[in-house]
Amino acid sequence: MFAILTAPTFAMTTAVRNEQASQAEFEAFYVRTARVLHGYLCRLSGDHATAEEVLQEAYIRMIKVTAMEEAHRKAYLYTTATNILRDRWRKQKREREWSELSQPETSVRQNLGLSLDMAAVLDRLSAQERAVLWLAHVEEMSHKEIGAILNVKEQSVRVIVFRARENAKKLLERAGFRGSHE
Amino acid sequence: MSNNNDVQFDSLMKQMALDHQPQLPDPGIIWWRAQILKKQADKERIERPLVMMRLAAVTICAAVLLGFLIANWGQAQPAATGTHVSFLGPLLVISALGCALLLGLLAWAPASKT
Repeated sequence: MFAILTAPTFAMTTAVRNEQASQAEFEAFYVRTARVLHGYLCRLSGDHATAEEVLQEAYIRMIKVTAMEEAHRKAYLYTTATNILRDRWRKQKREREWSELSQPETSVRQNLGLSLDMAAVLDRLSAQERAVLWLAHVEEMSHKEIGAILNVKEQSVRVIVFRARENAKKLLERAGFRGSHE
Repeated sequence: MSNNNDVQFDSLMKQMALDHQPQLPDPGIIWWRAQILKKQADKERIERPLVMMRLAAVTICAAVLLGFLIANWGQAQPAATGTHVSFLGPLLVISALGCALLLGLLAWAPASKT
């Protein structure tokens, strides 16, 4: 009788405890990853509100799938966020922005602070280039990981990263940035 | 900036990422939103067979009603045209209306639940 009465209570307590532990684990993971992911989405979408919406959607989808290792979770998060953004672009018939290189303007904003200049430079690259530069330099992901996230072959990622970096450097030079060696 | 200066470019990128300090949504809210959506999805999955059964019931009822009307059309026609007064005609019309109302309710109930 005692066992019958206590078994559901015990199961419920365990479930609540598990849920609380999962929530705490999620919150810790969120604190570690959200700021950088938000930056990635901001750079990619160029819009703070869109970045926030996509960020929430990506984390919700991540919670809904079964538990996975942190490294996989991060890759899953970036892949999901990128795909959500792509779907939005597709819906808005702006998919071409993904692969096309936007025409760089003759001048890049100057004297507005280093980070703002860098952000302005990135804004003049294509979405794909912005994504690879962020994933390669900020998240320090391998070409293989970037390829998996962006659905591009590893060899192609190598070329895209190189070209994106060169384009960004040219834009920085045009903006008057010469680097510390000069 | 020279081509060899990848390290400097790397530090510029990292600095830009560090300078990004947005007001992020509360993780607790995201967690609970996900839990609610998860429960909604589970509920819909559980209710799916019930919804299918209701649709099947509506289809079968409609087929039976149609069959009944066709089979008794000979008796119903004089009542409908008014040439012959019988209790069967009005009864058929009332039954048909009642059944149509019932079918409508059955069809509407699953749609309103999901």
